[in-house]
Amino acid sequence: MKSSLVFLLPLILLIACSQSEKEKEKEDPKNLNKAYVVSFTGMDSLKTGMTKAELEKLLGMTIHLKHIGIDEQLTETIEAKFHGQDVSLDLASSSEEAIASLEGVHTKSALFKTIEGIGVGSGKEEIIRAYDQQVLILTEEDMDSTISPPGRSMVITLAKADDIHQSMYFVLVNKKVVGIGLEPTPEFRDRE
Amino acid sequence: MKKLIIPAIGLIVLIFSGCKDKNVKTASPQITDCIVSQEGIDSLKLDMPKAALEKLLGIKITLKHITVDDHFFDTVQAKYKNMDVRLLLQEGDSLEVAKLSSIMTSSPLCKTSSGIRVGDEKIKIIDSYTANRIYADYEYETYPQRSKTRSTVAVTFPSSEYERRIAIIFYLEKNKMTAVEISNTYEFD
Repeated sequence: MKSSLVFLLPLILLIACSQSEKEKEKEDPKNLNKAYVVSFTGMDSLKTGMTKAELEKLLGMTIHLKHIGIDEQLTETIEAKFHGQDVSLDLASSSEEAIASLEGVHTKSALFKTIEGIGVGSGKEEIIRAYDQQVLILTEEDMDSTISPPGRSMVITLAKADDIHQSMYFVLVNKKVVGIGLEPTPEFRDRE
Repeated sequence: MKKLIIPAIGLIVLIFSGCKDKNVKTASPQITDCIVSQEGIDSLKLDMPKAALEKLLGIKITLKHITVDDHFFDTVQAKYKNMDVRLLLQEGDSLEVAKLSSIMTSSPLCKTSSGIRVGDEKIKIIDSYTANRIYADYEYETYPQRSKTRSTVAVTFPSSEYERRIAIIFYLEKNKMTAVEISNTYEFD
């Protein structure tokens, strides 16, 4: 019995170590090889402007609309899985043929990062320094209740320098990113 | 007699040293900082009528556009407490010909209540206004081309007037503050 314990203990320790290493790899923001790139046009192959049909094909699911084309609401949010991660998809009413298209994407997953390595876990100062030459909008308002945790949080919107109508945003709590998303720049949404 | 000479010399020295001090004080008047807020700079307040502005600055403002041609704004360069200021006047209502729409200065004598002044870094400005909506962007050189060095940080404040936003705009060159403007309207574009 004692001899089997002597063999078992190192084995358990080995397994535990390899598990924690895997966790560390997942959390490491520099480990971009395993992250999905977030850009102004989308998250990996999930691109803004995609039609409902294209989305269904990519995600391998049928999207059942509850508002668009049914009542007067022109937008709705769908919860889905992409690369095994939870994502919220903002659909907007589009041409009659397409019915709806992807206007925005949000996720709390740490696997989605910008090319600069910014994602869940990054700090406020890190964002400001990474996008020093870009257009930033910083606000404490709770802009999106679906992604912002309860209470006051901060949102940093990064508008595309040569087309400020397109933007990505970072939701921060205690100066750390807890969510990342894409959407049309809020400042222009009402003007168009 | 000898006993009197020593106190007399002391008295003379005291009188002369007192005179010297007085001269020093008059030669360099104490310069105090002017506080920048969303209301204006020191006593220069946004929306101030032209008449009140003339009284404060001790000058007569001659308008070149307002009530003269089709333009609604006039720019005036003036001195306020040893600082060069650029004042933007906008057409007023039926009671006032014009009112103060924006104040801009690059004087190092100006600072915000949190101590931000010319020479400070962008990150310090952003961190000082955590409760405000901030727009940090680069100035356009030729639209849509933006400058690589000249940027602005606009800290906005809600106004009582519908959709009007007051802003303290910090101008930066290579991320260092060079000037500040307080404007009664701000629109991000």
